[in-house]
Amino acid sequence: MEIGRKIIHLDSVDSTNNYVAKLLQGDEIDHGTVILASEQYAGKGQRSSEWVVKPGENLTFSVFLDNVNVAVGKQFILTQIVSLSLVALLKKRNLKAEIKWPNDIFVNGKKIAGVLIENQLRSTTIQRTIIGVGLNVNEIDFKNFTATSIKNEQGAFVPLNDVLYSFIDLFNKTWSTFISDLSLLDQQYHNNLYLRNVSARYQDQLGVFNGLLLGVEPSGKLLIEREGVLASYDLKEIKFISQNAL
Amino acid sequence: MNIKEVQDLIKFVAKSGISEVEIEQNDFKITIKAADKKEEKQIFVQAPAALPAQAPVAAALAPVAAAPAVAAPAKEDTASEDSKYLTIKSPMIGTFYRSAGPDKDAFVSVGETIGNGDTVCIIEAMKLFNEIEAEITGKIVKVLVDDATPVEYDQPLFLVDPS
Repeated sequence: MEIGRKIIHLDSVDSTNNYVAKLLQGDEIDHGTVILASEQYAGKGQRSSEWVVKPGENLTFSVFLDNVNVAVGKQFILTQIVSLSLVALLKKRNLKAEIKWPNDIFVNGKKIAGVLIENQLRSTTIQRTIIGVGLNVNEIDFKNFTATSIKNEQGAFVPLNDVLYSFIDLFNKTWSTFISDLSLLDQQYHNNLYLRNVSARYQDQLGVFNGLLLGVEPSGKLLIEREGVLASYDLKEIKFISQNAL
Repeated sequence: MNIKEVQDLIKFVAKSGISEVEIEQNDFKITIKAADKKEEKQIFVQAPAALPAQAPVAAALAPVAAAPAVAAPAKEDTASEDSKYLTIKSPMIGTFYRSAGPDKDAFVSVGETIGNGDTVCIIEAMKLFNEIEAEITGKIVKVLVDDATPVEYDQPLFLVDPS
């Protein structure tokens, strides 16, 4: 599943994920190709919420995976692999990175990266995957957002290329290490999970409560102990309160 | 790309397991190849074909019963009119979306003819967006689920007239 043999660097694009999708329609993209954009003017956050990045400051890129062959019931392993690659990248730079469920990366309680994955299914199998990553590298002005960047944490400017190469390298290593040992993958994901086993404020349909985040189900649902009862939550069913993050 | 960036690229290729990297930027294109690299060292442990069988945890999530998204005769209990129709079912639990984005056109609408491999909807779960392809050919008779609402595994999404 090696990626990074081909890197296409665009000055400006609506979204790198869309660009991959367009190339795919014309069969013009090979497995592992990385599309990097200096400027993304309609970057995809979670459906409709847009990730806005100043040109050249941060890293926004997409990776195309062909012949993924992962059963749709196990799709969450894709999120886990990408998240762990990003955590490894940041830890290499001595940043205390954690995975904020389901697919954001936090440093010191602030968002530093987000992941958006789009799959094409054939029956119940994921055939092709577009991984979109937004990683804050040199941005230092986050306005009202609880966000941070590598530079914001460490003070020094970081060349975007270095960070991209590091991601490619670590993604390849993470994939080959864990794809044959999914229980180890799950364990590593849990070891790096933000707020795990820490009492924190959450909100579900019944209201705000103090809960204990215990982990994530194989389906990707979040497990939180709520007043002694274990509850599992879909993305839209739970809100992190104390961190004002979701 | 400046000299420093080219040097960084060479370093990256030298250090990583990748044997060749090609970069395209505007009119510029560069390919860096590692001479005679220990290709064997980079054997991929992926065995993707074997994957679905491997993880026992997932078994419960993806029941092996009747493959979803595959054409199946519409249920008997629907009007007899419907029995000549096929359904496209959801291969997973998630949220059903009829278009690629809030401001985008629906992938398919009633009366439209779809073919094998056409994208008919997106099902999202935990921020993973899955494009669902039709595996049948026919005309959409009915969209059975509202946009942006939850769907269950195997839930019928579209009624299709194959004739």
